Amino acid sequence: MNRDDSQLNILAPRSLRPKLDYLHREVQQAAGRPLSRRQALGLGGMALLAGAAGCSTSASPASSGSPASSGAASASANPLTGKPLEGHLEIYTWSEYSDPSTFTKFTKLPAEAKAGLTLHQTFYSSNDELLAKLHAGGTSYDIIVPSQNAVAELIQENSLMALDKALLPNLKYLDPSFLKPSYDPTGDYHVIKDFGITMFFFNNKIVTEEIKTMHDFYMALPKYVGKGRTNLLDGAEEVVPLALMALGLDPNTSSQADFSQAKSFLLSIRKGVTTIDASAYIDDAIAGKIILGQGWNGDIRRIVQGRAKQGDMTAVIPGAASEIWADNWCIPASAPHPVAAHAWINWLLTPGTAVTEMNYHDYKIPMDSALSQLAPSLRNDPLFNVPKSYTDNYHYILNVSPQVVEARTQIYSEFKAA
Amino acid sequence: MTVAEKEPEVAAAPAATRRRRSFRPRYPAWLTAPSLLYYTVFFLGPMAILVAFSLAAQQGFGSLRYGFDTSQYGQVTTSLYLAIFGRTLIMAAVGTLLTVAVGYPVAYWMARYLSTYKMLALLIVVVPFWTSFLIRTYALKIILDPNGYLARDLGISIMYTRYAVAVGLVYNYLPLFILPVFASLERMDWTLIEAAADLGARPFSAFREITLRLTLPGVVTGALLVFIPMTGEYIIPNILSGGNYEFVGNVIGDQFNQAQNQPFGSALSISLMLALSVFVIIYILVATKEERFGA
Amino acid sequence: MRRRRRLTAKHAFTAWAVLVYAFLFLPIVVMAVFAFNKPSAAALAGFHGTNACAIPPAQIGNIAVWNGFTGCWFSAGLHDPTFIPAIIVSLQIAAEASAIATVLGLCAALALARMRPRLRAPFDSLVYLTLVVPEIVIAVASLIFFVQARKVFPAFPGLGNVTILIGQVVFNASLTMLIIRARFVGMGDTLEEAAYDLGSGPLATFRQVTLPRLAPAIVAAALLSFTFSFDDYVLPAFTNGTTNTWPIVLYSAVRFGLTPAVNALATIMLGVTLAAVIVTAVVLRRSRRRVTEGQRSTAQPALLLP
Repeated sequence: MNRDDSQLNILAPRSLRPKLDYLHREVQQAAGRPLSRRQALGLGGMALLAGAAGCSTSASPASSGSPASSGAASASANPLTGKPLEGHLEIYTWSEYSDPSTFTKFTKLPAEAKAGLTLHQTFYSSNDELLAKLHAGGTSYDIIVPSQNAVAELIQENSLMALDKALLPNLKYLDPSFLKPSYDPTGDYHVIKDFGITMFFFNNKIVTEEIKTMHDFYMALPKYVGKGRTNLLDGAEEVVPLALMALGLDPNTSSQADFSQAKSFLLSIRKGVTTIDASAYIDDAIAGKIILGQGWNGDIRRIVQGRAKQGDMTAVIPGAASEIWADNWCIPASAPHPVAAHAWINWLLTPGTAVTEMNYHDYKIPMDSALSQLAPSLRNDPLFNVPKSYTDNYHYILNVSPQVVEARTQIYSEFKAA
Repeated sequence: MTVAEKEPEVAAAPAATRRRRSFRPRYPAWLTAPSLLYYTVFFLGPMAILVAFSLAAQQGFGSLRYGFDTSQYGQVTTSLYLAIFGRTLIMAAVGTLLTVAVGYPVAYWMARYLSTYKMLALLIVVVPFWTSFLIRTYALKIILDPNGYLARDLGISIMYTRYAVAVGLVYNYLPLFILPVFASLERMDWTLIEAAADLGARPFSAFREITLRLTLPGVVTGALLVFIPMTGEYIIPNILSGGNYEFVGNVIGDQFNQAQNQPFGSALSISLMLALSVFVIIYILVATKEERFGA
Repeated sequence: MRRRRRLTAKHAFTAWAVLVYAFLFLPIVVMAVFAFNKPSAAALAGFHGTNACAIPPAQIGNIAVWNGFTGCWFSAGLHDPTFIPAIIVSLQIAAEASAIATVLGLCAALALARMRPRLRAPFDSLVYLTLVVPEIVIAVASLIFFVQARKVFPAFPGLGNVTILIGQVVFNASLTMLIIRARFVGMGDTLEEAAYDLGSGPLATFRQVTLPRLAPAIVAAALLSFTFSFDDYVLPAFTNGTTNTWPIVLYSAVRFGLTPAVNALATIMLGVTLAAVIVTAVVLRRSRRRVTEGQRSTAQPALLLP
């Protein structure tokens, strides 16, 4: 079975990776069908590599953000420039996660309209599905929307295409501090779509004490579960790292000792949890059915607004540590229409588009020029625009390694089964 | 056997005695070829991959080192997973019994008391399932809601408990039981029951001796068709129990989806399949005996 | 005396059947009712548009309670660019899967029912194996199988409608085989024997004797296959490539907001099928007289046979 193809076992300086990506793409295009990296590079890639390595300067292509870089280096560093816009774009994303007009306006842009670009969306319902399908291969998606933990994993497996920054001039609108996050240290493989945090809320008529941190939240669960329904977010990648953070530990730890601690902690509060659900909790909370629960900031904002009349929902942005997460635009390494994919990302980085998007899905995009165009009620809402004083202490949860993911999954299974 | 019995038959043909011949119109065996071919390619192929997975070891994300590593099976037998197995089998068994109890009378009613509208009744059973399973389950959630009419006014508050899961399972598997049982009951010659009653048999004995015996293959088929997939179910328990009930299906799903751990997920599946095969073998033994009772 | 008991039994059974039908349809009725549910007042207050149903799902408020009547979701659902194509694809695949599976199952059932048990056992085991595999497992394994098959045989179809179909038929064919066989097995071969004796060839016998008597089982099997296929989420989710089926669209929408638009579409589908059912009922009632007369003349011989 060719499953080892995603592991590229060539010893080369890290700076040569973009060149290897380029070779992969070129050979792929020549062959006219998706090839694995091993096949592409084996098929004479070595010959080209020798030539290219001899010709090019040692300019690191990854930082070729400035359009004014020199010709020779640009030719090998920006392999997509000069390539024509393709006629189709295949987007694999969550349903209802972008304003419908964003898609229609994209196809009507001058360059895209001229190329007669058609756009098609396929939907998934979890990152895990996305990962499973990318692993299996045979996909023809140009754009995917993985969360940060999936991005980290996909980078490790070389499943993502390195972005050609020359085709993304609108990157300049993004807040620079979001360009090289912990889940993509080189910043070459993703562009942030939106981000949020994990926080919690409670019914202030029933829960009468001050709950300020995630740890307080967990401690309060057994106390109030008798008075109504409590809810945790589901998924091994949420439950276990959040517990680790509540205990003051690193959520991305791989230490067995830390995991044991998290496990005993979780089992000790298990009785305090009525349900573990991340999909239907919003409507239930708006209906007043949940008295103490975790949630993502955009959803909790909906809940608080939905119960504005009753005024009994208090949202708490956790002090100390919690999760910051981000959904990202990425291009799979095997994307058949990379130029169109870049054009799409560039379009999403347009401030006007970002405004439309934020108004639609209610999550923040770190783009000051877009933020300033939002209605003040939205922009100044801490549940939308979480203050940096909090987020500076928050962590991205990553899929560090299969062992870590497996350990989290086992604890999660045990927690649910208890 | 056929030949030897045929000769005295030919000689006796003109005679009045009508002996039961062993001749049975058989359909040629090659009729099974299309299905067999189909299964071999599109089922055994993926199954081979599954077995290969279960004997592999995880190397990086999504990449495996193939070999003959049986450590995954060892992990399956830890107490956590055995407990979950057990709980799942019990839940599926209870769900199946409930489905049989609820569904059998309906199938019986359709087969016995309807004539013109038989097919229609069948169709109506299935029509609710042409909406989406997700919408139906969420509608069930609304009905079972702790603050809803059922819970508040009638005191039936079972949301997020195993009873809610049972309701959800029975609801979604009912057609899977009713249809095969109906198909089997439909061939019953009801005049046999009338004859039995005329001869003095009480209705329940008539039912037990005649109807049940003749239609048992259909009932067992229906029960198995319900029980087996129920053990692999994970979406219904997830939605209706709010994550409180962890079934084998959830665990397998988590391993494949969240942990991307195909070796362990595959080992779990194969173990589940082996456990279920026991029931299947019992059925095959029981059914072949019953099939000689033709009507 | 006996007549009264039989009537009571019939009444009891009918009452139970009605209860079960009510149970089956209750969530459907709830679903249909909520297709007319307005977004919450609070949500509408914050929305600045003319069409209440154009409100983004993220801002829709609480739609698990009744907020008032509106019919705009039907138009919203019909105009959504992803819903209708997905429904059509689902219907298409379900019809094809059902047809193929019924044919495969019928052929296999005919041959297997009268085969010697020893020959039958391996096939039976294979069939039950297909039922025993959890769906997520066969989904992932099939996905990898299809991808690898395409690498080896480029003529093999890419991930999409066809691969979804292939995966579903594996389960469906077993389903149909079992249902048809359960019926066929107890059917008895005397009528067929009689037909042979009278000089009828095997194909004619099949067409005129066996097939009509198997019809209820075949219909039941086809219906069940269609239903299972239409409602299938797990297998298509992995083997779909770029195809969206109706369950896939719905599942993905759960995270960011299922709106009553999906209820509206499901209600439309329900309406269409119920209308077809009512038409069938009327047609049946019309032809009932003809059929009853026909039955009366053929009923006698059936009783005479052992």
